Amino acid sequence: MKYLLIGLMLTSASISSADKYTIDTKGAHAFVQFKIKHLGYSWLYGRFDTFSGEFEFDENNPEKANIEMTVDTTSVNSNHTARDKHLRNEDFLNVAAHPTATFKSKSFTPSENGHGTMIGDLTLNGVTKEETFKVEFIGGGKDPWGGNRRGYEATSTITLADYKIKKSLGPASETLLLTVSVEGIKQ
Amino acid sequence: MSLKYSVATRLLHWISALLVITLFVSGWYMVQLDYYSTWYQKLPELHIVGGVVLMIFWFFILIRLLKSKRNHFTQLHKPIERFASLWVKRLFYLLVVIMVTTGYLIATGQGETLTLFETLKLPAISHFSAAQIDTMGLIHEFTSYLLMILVTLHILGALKHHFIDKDDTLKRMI
Repeated sequence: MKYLLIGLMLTSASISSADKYTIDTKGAHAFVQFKIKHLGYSWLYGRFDTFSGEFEFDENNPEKANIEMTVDTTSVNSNHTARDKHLRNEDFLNVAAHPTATFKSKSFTPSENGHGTMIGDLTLNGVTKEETFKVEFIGGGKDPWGGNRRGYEATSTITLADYKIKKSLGPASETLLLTVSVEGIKQ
Repeated sequence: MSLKYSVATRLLHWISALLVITLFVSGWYMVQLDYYSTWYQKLPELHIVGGVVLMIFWFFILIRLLKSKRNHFTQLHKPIERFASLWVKRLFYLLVVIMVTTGYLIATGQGETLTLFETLKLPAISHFSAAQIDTMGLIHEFTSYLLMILVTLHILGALKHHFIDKDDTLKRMI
């Protein structure tokens, strides 16, 4: 009985010690950006304006860090209305059939100074595939308004054909660099 | 020969017929062009210019409609033919208005003045959201198919009068 109680206390202690962070989309301190080559001559930058997510982080068990994010694919924005309309249609994001993209982490391997590598399932255009993100810890701590924040930037290279994105804009434009930059507010 | 439509009516008819069909073909073709086609940039711009020209023609056509006397259907036509041709015509007026309106709003949907071929400026009426632009795009697409069905019926009707009934219906417009 004594051991059971201690066991329960330990379990509850380990559960509560992982802090939950909500990604600060309200204050727009988070970005889902991409860049892809245009003709192989320059970088085209774009982003998704609407998304949400949460991550968990435990100082004592950094390898248990995990994140879940949902992106509204209709919010794709490359600062060009006609191009965005094309990006939403069946040639690319197919938003009528798949209005959301999601990422669910499966593992985090910490390296030094809070950085690490995160592996998880990315679902885009209805296709789920495992992707590896290089995660950089930017900073964390108290904010001036009584809260606690923590921020990361994660990058990965994604092959569009893996997600059944039919249209190819040429050999230089078949992969895309995805950057997810987030600031979480501790709950 | 006195049965012929006025020169102005005939000109407006054939110019808008040419524009409507050219715009349909160019619109249908431009959305499937390869990114590396030399027409990829040019054809959509030409399509918009053509749409603006049709919009101007349609404005005059609608104005004339208000001023014109009642349509003089000849005794040649059966009531059912009069009814069908009248409604096809009314739908033409409506569908072309839908086409040029959605086309204009999509083209200027960014909310900024659109400049075509570095000279022609189209002022934006409003900025539209992604969902609104996509909905207008679908309306533009499906209205164009409906319009082409009506154009086909209209042509078949004209040919029927000319070759089967052997009356002057088509000649009045030529």
